[in-house]
Amino acid sequence: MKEKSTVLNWFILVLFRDLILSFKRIATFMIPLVFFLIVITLFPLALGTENSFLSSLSSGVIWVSALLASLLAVESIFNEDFRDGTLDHFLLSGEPTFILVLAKVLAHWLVTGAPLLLACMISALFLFLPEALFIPLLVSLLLGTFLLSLLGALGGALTIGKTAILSAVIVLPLSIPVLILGVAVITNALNGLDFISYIYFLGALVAIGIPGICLATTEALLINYE
Amino acid sequence: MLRIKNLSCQRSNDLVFSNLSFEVSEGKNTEIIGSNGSGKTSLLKCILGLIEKREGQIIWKENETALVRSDFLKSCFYQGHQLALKNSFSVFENLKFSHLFFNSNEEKIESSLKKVGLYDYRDRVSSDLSMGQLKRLAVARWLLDECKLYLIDEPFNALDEEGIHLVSEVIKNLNRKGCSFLFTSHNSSHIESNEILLDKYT
Repeated sequence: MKEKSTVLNWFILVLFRDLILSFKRIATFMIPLVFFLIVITLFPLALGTENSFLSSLSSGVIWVSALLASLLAVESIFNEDFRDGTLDHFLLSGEPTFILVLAKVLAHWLVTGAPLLLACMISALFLFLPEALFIPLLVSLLLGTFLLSLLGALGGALTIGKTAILSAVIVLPLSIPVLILGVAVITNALNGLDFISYIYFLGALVAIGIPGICLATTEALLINYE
Repeated sequence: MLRIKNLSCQRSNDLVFSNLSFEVSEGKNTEIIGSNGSGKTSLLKCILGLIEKREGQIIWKENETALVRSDFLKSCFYQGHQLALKNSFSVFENLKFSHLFFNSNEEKIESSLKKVGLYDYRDRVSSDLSMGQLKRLAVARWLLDECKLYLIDEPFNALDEEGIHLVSEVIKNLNRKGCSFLFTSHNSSHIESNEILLDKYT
């Protein structure tokens, strides 16, 4: 008989397994990162290198690039496990599916979102973003990319067994509030206006999203599984 | 141990099978025989609750499985057509990460690999294995813990004579320990079992 593990053990084991699997396939986390850096590099090439112009566009450019980059790995959240039968084992383990979803979201964020935080520091230099804005940018991306991972999991669960494009089409409209708030943080900070309230908004969305989106993802996974 | 009473299952408005009844006793095997599309996999998934049943009862130790779902799932091992093995993991790692579901240690993993003849391949990446070897690796996972009920989809598929003999022996050994098997196949296998012809219920 399988032994019942604690919720924390189950969470750590799923997280650990997903991280090891990702690091074994470097492409999983390198592709979103390289994609992000390439897109960011294209903007100065296309729009010219005038400092103030690029600086005024930087928040939108960084956020749209981060959003598109995070979509690239959405398929890996559930679809791979679905195709090779691992998801059967997960769902039949007798352990809570909600914890499985939460661990997979965190693994996805650590593999795709966290490296983007480092990459955005480099890209901020390309786009002549003032150094004083690095911290607001970092905090907004920290919260925002986690929200994008949560939404990516929901999109992945809704389109299980289907093409990655479909999950991108579902996730993109849902990401609009995150994009608006994320860009507002940088724009306000750039113009010397209050940006803390937008960070609170993003924080509140994360706080609501962890139980709310994870529950919705769990249900979508179970309903859509057949 | 497991009783199926008048079970009917439908998928996308099509009735897959209806009024199916049988029983799986402790330490015994039950073989579901049917042609392609007769609903063998659907039956296993329906028993496990992955597909909703249309009507009937699935009783595990005198209780409806829906009422004791967690206990029921902890007592079961399911292996579908997909073997739940990761190509990027080595043979050993694939079993090691079965720790997620079982409480096995390294010695147990090595002993399982020896029993299925894959010990020498322990560090080889799974993508380098043949289909038959992957099947053996999946069988090694059965041995990591002794579940009460094994639900296996076509366990003898893609195996050579030696592999079939090995799987038969593993099943018999687990039977001796009180484990029961419910498995599917296209034709009658060489294992002593209660045979259910699923085509009669479609």
